[in-house]
Amino acid sequence: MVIKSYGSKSQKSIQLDGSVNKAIEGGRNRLLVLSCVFCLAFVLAGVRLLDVSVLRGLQEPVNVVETTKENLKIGRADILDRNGILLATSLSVSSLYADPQEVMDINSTVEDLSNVLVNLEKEKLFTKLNQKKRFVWIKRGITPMQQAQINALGLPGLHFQKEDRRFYPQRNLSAHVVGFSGVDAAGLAGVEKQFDGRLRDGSEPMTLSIDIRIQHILKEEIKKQIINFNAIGGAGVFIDVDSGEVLGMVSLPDFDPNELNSALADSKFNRATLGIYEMGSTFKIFNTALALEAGTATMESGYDATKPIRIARFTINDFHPQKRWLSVPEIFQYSSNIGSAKMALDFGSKAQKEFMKKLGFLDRLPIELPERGKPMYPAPWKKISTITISYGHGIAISPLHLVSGVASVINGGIRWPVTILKKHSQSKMFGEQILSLQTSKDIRKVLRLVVENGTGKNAAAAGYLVGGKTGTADKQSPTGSYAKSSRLSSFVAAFPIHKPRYAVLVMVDEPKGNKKSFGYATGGWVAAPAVRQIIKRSAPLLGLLPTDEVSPQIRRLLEIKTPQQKRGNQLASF
Amino acid sequence: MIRRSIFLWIFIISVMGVSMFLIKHEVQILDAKLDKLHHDIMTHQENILILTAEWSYLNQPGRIESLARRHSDYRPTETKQIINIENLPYLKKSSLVRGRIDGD
Repeated sequence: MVIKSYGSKSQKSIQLDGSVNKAIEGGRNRLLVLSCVFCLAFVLAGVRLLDVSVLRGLQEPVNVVETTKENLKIGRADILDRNGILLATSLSVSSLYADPQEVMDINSTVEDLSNVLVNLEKEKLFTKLNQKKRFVWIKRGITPMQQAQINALGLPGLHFQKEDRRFYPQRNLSAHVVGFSGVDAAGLAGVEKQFDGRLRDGSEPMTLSIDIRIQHILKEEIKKQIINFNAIGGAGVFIDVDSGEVLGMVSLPDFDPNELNSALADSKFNRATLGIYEMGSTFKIFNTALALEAGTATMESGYDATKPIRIARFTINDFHPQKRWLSVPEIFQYSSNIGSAKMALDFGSKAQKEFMKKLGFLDRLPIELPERGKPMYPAPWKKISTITISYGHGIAISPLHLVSGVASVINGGIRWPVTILKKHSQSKMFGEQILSLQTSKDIRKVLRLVVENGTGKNAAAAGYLVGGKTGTADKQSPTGSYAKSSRLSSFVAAFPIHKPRYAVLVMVDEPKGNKKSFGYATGGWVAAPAVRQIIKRSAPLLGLLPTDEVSPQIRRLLEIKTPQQKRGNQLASF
Repeated sequence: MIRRSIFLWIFIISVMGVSMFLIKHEVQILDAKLDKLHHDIMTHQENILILTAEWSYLNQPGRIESLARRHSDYRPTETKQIINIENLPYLKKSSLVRGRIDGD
């Protein structure tokens, strides 16, 4: 240890002192370096601690929530009705596929699978499995039960893949509104197509204005009339006149969006929004409204309806001829074409076209559906067009157009855009005043007159003060001529008419008269009874209390002063 | 002195080591538990989705209607069954008051 030893004692101690000193010096240096390193390490650890605990403290729980959310999101967002009933949802289902190279015995595989999966086409599967591919679908969207059974078969080469599949629990009921999406979850029709982007990335469900109960009532009653009158189809719309919300919209025949492959092309067609039709006499509502608004006629004035009008090569006749002078309410009550035509000639083509534009009858409806029919109207708008449009021919619009127009005429004259989405109490609405309140009130009176004592008696749902108008239009054949046998019978109504809340339209396509209707297939016989049933059944669901129809207040509200009071019994219900 | 402090350090270090091991082990258990919970939540969520779809399917108005017709005696309310309380006969305010006085 010590090199220079064997000297004096003092020398030794000095030398020793020196070596101790040296060691201490070295130790100190090491200690210094070490403590520096430690200090640095502690500072680093401290900074990191501060970073983790104080600066990032808030992020920790957020991370957890995010992973949870991400894991649980399954496919497209749900679609709900206005009361939160599920109309469309995405479920994760298993799909069966095969790797043909791994399949050992094709014959037995096909045989075993066909025992589990009914409706499996054996030959098709056989050729599929004989292909030199590595991937073929066998069946997409199988039930958990089938999956378990196939697993139990223990066949090689078969695999499952989890897939999102759209499921429509209400089946046919809202098919045309909700629409449908394809196997690869892309919206192909209806709301599914219109809001494809929103449904794809949003997990928030979409709430429609549709009420599934109203939808059911509409469908059932219209279907009944289609069967009774051997018709080819029908449509129905039910809307809230003060907000433009569509509570029910039906097009028949319909289809089950869960089984698109078996749906006929015709059944996918939405007659309520995409189909355009000449609506017939229901147009007299707008004709009368415009005459009153323009001041060319009043509730007391009248027109001569004794003789048919002859213009160019056409003759305008009445279906229920009275052959006398008719007041404006009577023209409406008896649905006189002659009187309506004369009223229209008084305000003229320009005013008529402008009013049709204001009602939205010359453009596609701004409804949130991809299926919107483009109206057809005459260009140029000639005098003969003005005459025929006065009673609903020569212009073709969709049924939804018609209801939307009627709603704006009777709700006090404000046109609200129709919508398929539920409005919240705070939603801002932009309506356009297209008629005066007085005209609106007058139209309510004549609508009530039709149901009380005119062509629409069959629509009278006691207690709910129904007002409405029949429409029976001859359908134009492809050659352009009008056929008497193919008709479009409709009825448009509003209730309670003294303070309208809802408007309903029922339209039946090509009904044939039967014994019960004495051979008639007109709006009053075909569509009006359906409207009565619809109102009777839906009003209690909507919380409407029946009113006393003969109470003095109501009488005074709906009273019409007719100059020549001659309401005999000569009028049967048509 | 130095020796004692070394023992102290060794003691502290071993305590920290053991406690770190224990905490880490606990965290691992909790992690596994969390994973399982996440998985369970997902399964439940999926089941709830299927059940809501089934609920809506079973609640189709047409189905409910036919079931109600078959199994219950209740029928849709007719308009004449609904009446305002003021319009009820024999229930005028005056007669009610008189009835009470008479009874007393």
